[in-house]
Amino acid sequence: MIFPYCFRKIYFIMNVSSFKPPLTSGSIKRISQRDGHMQLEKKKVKKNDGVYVIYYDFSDVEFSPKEEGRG
Amino acid sequence: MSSITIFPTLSFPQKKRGVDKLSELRWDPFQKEWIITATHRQKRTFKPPKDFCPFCPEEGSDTHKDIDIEYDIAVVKNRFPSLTEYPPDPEVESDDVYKTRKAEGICEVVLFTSDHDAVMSKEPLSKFIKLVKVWKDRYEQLGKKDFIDYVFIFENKGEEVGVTLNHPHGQIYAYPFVPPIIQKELESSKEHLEEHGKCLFCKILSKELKAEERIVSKNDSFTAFVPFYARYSYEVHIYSNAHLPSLEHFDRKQEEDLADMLKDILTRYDGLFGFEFPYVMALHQKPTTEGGEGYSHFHIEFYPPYRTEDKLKHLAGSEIGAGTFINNSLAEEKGGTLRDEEGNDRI
Repeated sequence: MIFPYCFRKIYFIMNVSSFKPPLTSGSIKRISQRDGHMQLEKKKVKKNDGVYVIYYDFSDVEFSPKEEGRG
Repeated sequence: MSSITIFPTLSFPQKKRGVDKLSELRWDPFQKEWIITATHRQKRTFKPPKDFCPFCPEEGSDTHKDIDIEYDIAVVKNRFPSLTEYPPDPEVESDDVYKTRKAEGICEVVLFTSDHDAVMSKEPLSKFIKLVKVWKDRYEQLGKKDFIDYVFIFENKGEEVGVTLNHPHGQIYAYPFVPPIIQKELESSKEHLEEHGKCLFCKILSKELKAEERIVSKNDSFTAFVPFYARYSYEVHIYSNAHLPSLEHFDRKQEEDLADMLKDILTRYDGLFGFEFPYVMALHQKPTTEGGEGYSHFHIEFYPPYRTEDKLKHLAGSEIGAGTFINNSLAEEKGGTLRDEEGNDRI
């Protein structure tokens, strides 16, 4: 239980450190929202042509090993 | 199955200047419903090869890509929207019969995974929990906008239902009105509530639970069944057991149970004939306008086009011309078939 959680944290840090906004990006906005017991984080990237992408980050959300197993 | 790979666009000759980007709502005075005219959608990306998929991540990509980084779930503004936040005025002026209005609204694409070849029924339960949370967030965020009356979340899956991009994804249309099927459904439920003191969906759920023969699957918070009045052979509806008007009313347990039920139904569908089962999936819930809590009841409807392993149900004369569906099979029989299929390995 502890190991996968740590692993997710490391993966998240690696992901964030390697994140590069697209060449056309305008603004980056980080949004947090209370979601019951957990934080649901979103990262909104807006491109110059008006198209936006919202990346949802679930790295702080706890899942049981069974929930994470492939069925 | 043959795949046509024409990329990036299909273009059609336009007769009139401006017609290639015409976008407006036109009123059908007979059916009393709005039709979206969106001619620019003729040019949308059509079955691109994997290397050119706009939803597969590619760092520092050029203009054909919407996504630059690996993601768990992402939401992208639709590049070819039927409705937009700042639409132009209609090109045709309204009169007393031919009414028009701006094609105002928001269209988004929900990307389920960055893996182009992922099979959703094989994804972990956590993926479905995340998806439910994203749907809930979009319902709340888009519903807050004052020009939005209805947030419609749906998925078109498979080329048989007209999918033009094979990357696993769903869509959201935030309409400036309540769409006609949902409007009619809510009016019927309201009428039943006023006459019998109970929401029509709650009544139907209690009848299905009593009859049992059309039930496909159950968990603590949801029941899936082939409706008594099914239009398609393998049509399945998932109702919340409690009277929950929308995703906004879900607690964590209900989110997880919906995820479990979604994975369960997809697993049964894919096991049925041994291939990824195509369908149209529609989430029906409360309009994002004031009121309606008493008669709006969250549910999901699946419409798969296959009626046998190798035959599709085509909408034809009676369905298109007269609005009367012909179902070649019995809901009771198909309910039993899907119930006997192996579902999700429940926790």
